[in-house]
Amino acid sequence: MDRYKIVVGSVLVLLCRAPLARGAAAGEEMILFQELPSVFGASKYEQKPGEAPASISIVTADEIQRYGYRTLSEILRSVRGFFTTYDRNYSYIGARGFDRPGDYDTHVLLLLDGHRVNDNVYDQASVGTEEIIDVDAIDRVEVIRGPSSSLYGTDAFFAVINVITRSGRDLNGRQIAVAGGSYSTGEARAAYGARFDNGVETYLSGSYYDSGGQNLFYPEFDSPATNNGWARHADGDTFDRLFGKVSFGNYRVEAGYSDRDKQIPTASFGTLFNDSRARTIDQRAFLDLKYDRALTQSSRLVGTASYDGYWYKGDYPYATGGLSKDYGYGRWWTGEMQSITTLRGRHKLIGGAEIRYNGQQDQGFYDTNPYALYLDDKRRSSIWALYVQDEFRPRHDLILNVGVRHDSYDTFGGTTNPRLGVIYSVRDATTLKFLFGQAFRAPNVYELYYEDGGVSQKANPDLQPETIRTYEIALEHGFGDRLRSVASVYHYGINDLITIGTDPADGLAVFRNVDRVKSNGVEVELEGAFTRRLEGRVSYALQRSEDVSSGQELTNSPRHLAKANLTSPLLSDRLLLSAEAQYMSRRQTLAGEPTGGFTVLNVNLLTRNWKKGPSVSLGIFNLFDRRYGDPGSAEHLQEVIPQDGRSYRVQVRYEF
Amino acid sequence: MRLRFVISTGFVLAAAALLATPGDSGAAAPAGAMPRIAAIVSQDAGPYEEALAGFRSHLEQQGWKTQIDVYRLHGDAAGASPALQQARQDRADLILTLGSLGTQAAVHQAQDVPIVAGLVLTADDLGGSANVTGVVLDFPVETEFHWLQRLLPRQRHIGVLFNPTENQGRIDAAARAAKAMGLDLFARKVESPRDLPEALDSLNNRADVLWGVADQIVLNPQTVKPILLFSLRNRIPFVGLSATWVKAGALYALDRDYDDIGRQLGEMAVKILRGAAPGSLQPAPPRKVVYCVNRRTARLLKFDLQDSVLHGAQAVID
Repeated sequence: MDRYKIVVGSVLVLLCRAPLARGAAAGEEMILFQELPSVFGASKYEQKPGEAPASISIVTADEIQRYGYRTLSEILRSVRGFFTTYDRNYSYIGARGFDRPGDYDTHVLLLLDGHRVNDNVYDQASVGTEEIIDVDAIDRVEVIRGPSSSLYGTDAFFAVINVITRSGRDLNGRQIAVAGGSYSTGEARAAYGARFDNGVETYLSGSYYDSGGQNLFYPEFDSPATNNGWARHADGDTFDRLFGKVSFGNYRVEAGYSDRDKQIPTASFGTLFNDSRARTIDQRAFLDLKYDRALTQSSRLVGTASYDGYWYKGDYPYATGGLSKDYGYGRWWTGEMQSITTLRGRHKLIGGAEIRYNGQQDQGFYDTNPYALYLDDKRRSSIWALYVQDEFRPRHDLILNVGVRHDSYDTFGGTTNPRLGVIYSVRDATTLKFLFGQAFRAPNVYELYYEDGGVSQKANPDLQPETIRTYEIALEHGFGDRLRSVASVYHYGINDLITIGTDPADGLAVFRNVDRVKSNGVEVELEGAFTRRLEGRVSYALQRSEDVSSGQELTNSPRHLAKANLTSPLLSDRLLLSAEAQYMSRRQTLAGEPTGGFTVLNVNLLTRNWKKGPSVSLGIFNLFDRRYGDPGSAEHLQEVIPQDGRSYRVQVRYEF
Repeated sequence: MRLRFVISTGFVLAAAALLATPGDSGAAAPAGAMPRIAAIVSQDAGPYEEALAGFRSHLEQQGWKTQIDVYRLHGDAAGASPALQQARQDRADLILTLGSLGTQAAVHQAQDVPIVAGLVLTADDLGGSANVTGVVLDFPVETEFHWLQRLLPRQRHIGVLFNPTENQGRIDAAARAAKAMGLDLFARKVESPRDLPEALDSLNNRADVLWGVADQIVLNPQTVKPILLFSLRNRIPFVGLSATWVKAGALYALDRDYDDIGRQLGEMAVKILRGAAPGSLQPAPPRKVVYCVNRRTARLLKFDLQDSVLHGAQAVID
């Protein structure tokens, strides 16, 4: 009887309280009154919480404007542990102590709004003036370190660089910009962005750039027969770009086109020195259709179909008086279907399938006068892949991220690559990540099939993919709301590295899976607002990357990289002074000689927000005119290729 | 016989006194009456003090001489029971509660005393008891959408995140109101904070304004940053809950005149002291609507706020 009373009493109490169930947390109205953290000074990392199975850096549009970055290459060289090399034709990305001369940026995957940018002939991630997108059209750049082949397949070897472009609503009007600077450089750009009442959103951008370039002195050519080492009017650089996207409801269409014409002043590949005909032309185009639909509250379906084209043409003048012409043409279709499902709030499952059909992978090489054909290679191939990834949260403070992808190639067959991440929130502001990943890079058609009729290079269709295994521990800690630190330790080993060497049997250059590389490194970074008037990031990376068989340090592999990017408002948000210092320790050239270490300082003064519309920036690069150089590749006579001294750029933007 | 006469006479006199109580709220307060009111103030924040001051002012302006015993909980619910016990001992004629801490306690522990409650979010917080009425903080969805159309006339696709346990009813009402007003409502359920990023992401290409509803799961100090950063980064204005949300980064928020809410509560109290049953007085929303805007947010969102909007705002934050 007593038990009955207790039960009935309890039920009555519960019933009486039922209407107030939503008020269980009494004082809920305080959400209207209590002080809330202002979002204006929030770290950009709020948008990418430290839950990803990778160490991530983000560079925002605001930083791009503050520091006056002109190319993706300049953005990337400001990022922890990254460096770039410029051979006065292309810019190359180095990460974690790896950027071997002659490697066409094949070990980093470049994405534009998730669309693969690396081409299908050389697998090149273009980040210099040959890049496909204007930096002013970028909303942010996400640098995702470590192997990501478990999601993206080939090239996601050291990092994935995802460039997110601006949307129509970001601009919400028109923008025109003109810039001028050193070396007779001028640039003009126009953009339009809008989101209409019917939900259609569009962003369009077009630009034209022309730089006369520098007159450059190369002591290796210092003789009267070669203009006493001066390459004059041989460094010109011109490009035009178009980019646009339209989104409506579940659909988005995006397209881009770029055409870059760059003179080569270095007389690479033994061409005539000081001959302004030496040049490369790189054209890149794509059309991407994306469908993204929420199927249920907890699942989404994303489908993409895209068509890409890449056209490279190189003019190389030789002593015979004629031109040798080199080309690589690629066209390819890609289709991908991906589903993202959340199961019981604990599992986030991503599964997908991708198929790529390379309808054209052509290479050619011929002399014009007299005409002689050395290479006319036409290829087609296809790739398909399946992948799955699960982000599992067994506890509120623990995430297990497991993913695997299988890729199948016509050429070498299949490869399966996993990734595992254990992400543990030690405290609210502290996250510890244990990461393991394996990635691959498929041999590209240049490495597989390029030959020049027995003159200097021969094909090797038996090449196998390179593989990398990376182990990393990363500790991320936030000091209050405005400072964030990252420290990571990593080790990686590369097997079957594709390396060009000489076949002793015939003396011809040929690519082979011969080298093994191992590397150990440490990276630390502090980022955020150091004081009320000073914000930015400082980082240091220490790495040693060596060839396993010889024990020698890799060429073009700096052991130390230190960077400081600091910005301070001189007058509120209206006048900003930003400075970046970059130190790179010495690197070995192909001949085993060291290039000197160097520090360069860039400053940018930006004025904006005085009134709606205009902004002006003045950037001075290499302020102290430090003389330094990057190691040359095998095609260069120069061991070290000097880089730009002090230069400037003034840009005026107007939005209306 | 004598005792029965005395009792009967007492009843008659008491009834006569009751009948003599003026029922017309416009009439003057009864001379000599000194009602005792227990005011339980849940928190120390400014709006509570403003509402209490407005309550006092209204009674004084109406000529009511009342003894108001103020019990301050300082945000601690444990103080409510002793306060209510004291109010019982003092034979309080009416209890005024400001805030949900005091209201919840009073609704459960003082079911025989009229209660006028203020600074609670919704009518659900009043517990549905016959002895309780009050002024709630939530504006009707029609009011919210009317102001949205007035302040952001180009935004027609409203995104909203809500926890169905708390707000399904309000969202259903919002869906009806939106349809009637020619607006599209994209409502996304958020059953736990983990659902928030995906729910926000799903609104990115659909909504052109994000409307905030008071919801413990969706809007709390931990979710402020992700929601406001989503708003700023995707150029989707967020309509906050109050001035503090606007200060943090919301584009605008409807807000209340807390002094006037106190006066509104005073009017209800007067009616009850004059004999009206609390249950006969419907809980009401604030009758005055004010709004605050954040001009800095507008700049970041590339929103051109009309001058009339800026001039009409109670506060413009920059």
